[in-house]
Amino acid sequence: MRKDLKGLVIFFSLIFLFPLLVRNPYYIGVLVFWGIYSIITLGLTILMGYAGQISLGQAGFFAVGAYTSGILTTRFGLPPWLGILAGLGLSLLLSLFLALPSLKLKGHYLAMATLGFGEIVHVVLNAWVGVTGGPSGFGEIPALSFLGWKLDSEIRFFYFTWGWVFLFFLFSLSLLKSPYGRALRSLHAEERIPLSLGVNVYFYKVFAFLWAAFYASFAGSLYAHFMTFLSPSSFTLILSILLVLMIVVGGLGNLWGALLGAGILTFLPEILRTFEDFEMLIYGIFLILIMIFLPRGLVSLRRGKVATGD
Amino acid sequence: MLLETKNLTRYFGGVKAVDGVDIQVKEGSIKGIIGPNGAGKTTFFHLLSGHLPPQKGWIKFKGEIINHLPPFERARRGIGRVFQQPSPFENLTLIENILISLDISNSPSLFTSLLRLPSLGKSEKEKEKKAIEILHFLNLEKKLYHFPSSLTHFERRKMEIGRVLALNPSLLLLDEPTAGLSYREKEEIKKIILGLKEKGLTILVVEHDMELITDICEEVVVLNFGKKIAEGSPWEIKNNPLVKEVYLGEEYASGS
Amino acid sequence: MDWQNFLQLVLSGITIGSIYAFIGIGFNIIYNTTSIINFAQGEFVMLGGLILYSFHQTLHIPLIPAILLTLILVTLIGIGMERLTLHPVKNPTVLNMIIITIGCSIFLKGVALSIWGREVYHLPFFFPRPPFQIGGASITTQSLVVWIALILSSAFLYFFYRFTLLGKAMRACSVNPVAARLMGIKVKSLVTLSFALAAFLGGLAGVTITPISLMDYQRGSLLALKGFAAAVLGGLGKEFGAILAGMALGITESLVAGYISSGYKDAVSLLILLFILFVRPGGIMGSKEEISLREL
Repeated sequence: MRKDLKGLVIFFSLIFLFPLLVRNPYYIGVLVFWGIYSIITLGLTILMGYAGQISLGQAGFFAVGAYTSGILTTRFGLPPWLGILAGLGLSLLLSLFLALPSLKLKGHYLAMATLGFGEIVHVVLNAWVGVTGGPSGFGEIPALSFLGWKLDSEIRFFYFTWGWVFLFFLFSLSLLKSPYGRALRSLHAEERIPLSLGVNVYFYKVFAFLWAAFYASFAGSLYAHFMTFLSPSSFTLILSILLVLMIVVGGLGNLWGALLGAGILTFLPEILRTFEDFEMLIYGIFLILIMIFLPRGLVSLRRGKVATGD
Repeated sequence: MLLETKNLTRYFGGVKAVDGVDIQVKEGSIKGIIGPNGAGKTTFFHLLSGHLPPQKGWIKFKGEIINHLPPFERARRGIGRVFQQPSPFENLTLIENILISLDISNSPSLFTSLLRLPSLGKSEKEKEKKAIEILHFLNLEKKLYHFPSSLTHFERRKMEIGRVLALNPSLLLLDEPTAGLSYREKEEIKKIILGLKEKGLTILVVEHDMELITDICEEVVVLNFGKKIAEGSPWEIKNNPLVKEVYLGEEYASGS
Repeated sequence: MDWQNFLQLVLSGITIGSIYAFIGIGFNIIYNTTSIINFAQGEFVMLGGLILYSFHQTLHIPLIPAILLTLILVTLIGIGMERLTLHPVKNPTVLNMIIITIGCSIFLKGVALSIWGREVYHLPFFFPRPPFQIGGASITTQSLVVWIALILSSAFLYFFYRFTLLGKAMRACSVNPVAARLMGIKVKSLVTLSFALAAFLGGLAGVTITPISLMDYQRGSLLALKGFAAAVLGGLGKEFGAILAGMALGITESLVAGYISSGYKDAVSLLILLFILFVRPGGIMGSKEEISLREL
């Protein structure tokens, strides 16, 4: 734990210094995206790396958080924090509806069910034109205000977002070091084993789903108030797949891996700007190569043995 | 009676794996279950621990019928099952494997855990102490922070027992605890089981090693094709002609 | 009740349902020999359509040779996918396998994006004749092409499984791969064969449906999901269950699009998929017991 805290302090110090050194708002904006995606991956890595489940539908919860917050603030004039809470509530409810029946599903079936969920959300975003604005989306989402400070510039949003990433990272770390974390890690084994030791496997599986949905929804709300414009094309199946891909590439079940993975997700398109059309191709190859040669993810390159619960 | 079953039956398709089995287990006793392979011993344990529901009959634990309780509920009430194949949590250290069971009875709320309130630290220390005690009893205290993959088969066996002990069970279901062990290791297991009896545990043990059964069990039940064909003291069982025919073989009985 | 309209919707439902059936059968074939769900199944369909476009419209190769070349190429891609990505994995876990096939799906999408871009492509009907009229509803010649392709493929598969040694070997594999191996069956080659078959069927679906419903680089995923729904609905692994299920799915979707709203028609199939997964993963032809017993 201590090592992690040290790393946390160093890393976040560097992050918080960044906008002071690099003034270009475009690059600061890119890092805001890194922060937003990191929140999603931090949640997802608990679900996939610790509880050993799979979700190919996180873009769905990301969308629910974003659209709920966006719609409630533009159409109903509600304050943004209420929009965020509503988004969280709706996502938790939806993930409950997804998680409970999924308890009996294994591997591929679960993957498909979550994939199906994500796609349903996408279809609804496109089809429910009256509420969501359909394929063209909608805009004029108000900026957030934090303690009277209006978050309408990249740099302000940057600190706000990364402040939350820091908090979410700490919460995740706390969770993992606690009895909850142990129980979650025991879910990797065949169900009957933790069951025979009194672990309520069903509770923890649902819990992990709710946790991941919570994080994704919050990230979505941040996204909405940052972009001030939403359209269904940002919430595709491809995003869900890329999120899983990045967790896996970064290292399943490792909080730092989640940050790393989110970083790759954010920076690769920037680096590959000239090769924009080949982006997906490269992701695909990357994914396949990692699965074949480094199934524990990039993080396993650093330590000899992948330490768990780190 | 700590545990009682009456007419317990479970079939798969046309095969009666467990066929109308009645047993009574007195508190504080050690009872053995023997029989040829396929007699239904493991299935019987599945029924007791809740991993399979029975189709007929009932199971009473501490006077209550528990037929419909799921496995984790039965574990929490005091039925601890040690599986035949040690299946430790490979991604947890030895001590963490024990802590999982201890967490059941001592678990701080989510709120406390996330905010790392002081009561979390206190409960973690308590549990660690208890875990070390248990591992000490099993002679595993030197490998606290090792992962199960670096333990020997025997150590994994003992860890499996440790995990179940951490649940503070009143009934222990041991499924072939000495399978694949050397003579010396078997002696150590025997000592451990007797030590547990002294602490007041009731033990049901499935075994193929007749010497072990004779040494530690007060009573033995013999199963064959899902039915109970004999019950009695080890001496009575060894001299039971039906048991000899079905399981022990003539030479064994006459030899000892 | 406007029967003409109803019939029209049912007929177009059968056509699209045939595509779902093709994809579902492809899933079943691979699942039977490998227990893997091939998330890239939809990409074979997509490639079928787009490659045919390139051969026929861009390179002006005459239709029949173009179709043959396309099918051969897609089959080779399927084989390549198996040999290069799944074969080398040493200790495959379920998660690994899922991720690898997803990686292939993304890779193939990426290739398609690079070559064909984001445009939607169109192919002319194979037989440029006016549609037939039956009971007031019209059936286009291309729909007939799709149906006949499905019927021929199913017949071929039926004979293949029942009467050829290779087919029987594949069925043996799906029931018990270890026993199959012990009996001298080369399981590894059969795995490759199953990918080849699945790719071929996917390509055939793509080739026949593109003149009707167009094709673009990212259509594969939604098709795959619905094809998977057909496979599960019909009982995963039961080869021909997917056909009935695909039809049912296609017809339902078509009716929803016609009577309720076309925007939500995709959601309907997906909801059916979720429903089946949650309630009866064994499918209509399977049983609930199957799944739970498999876990013990």
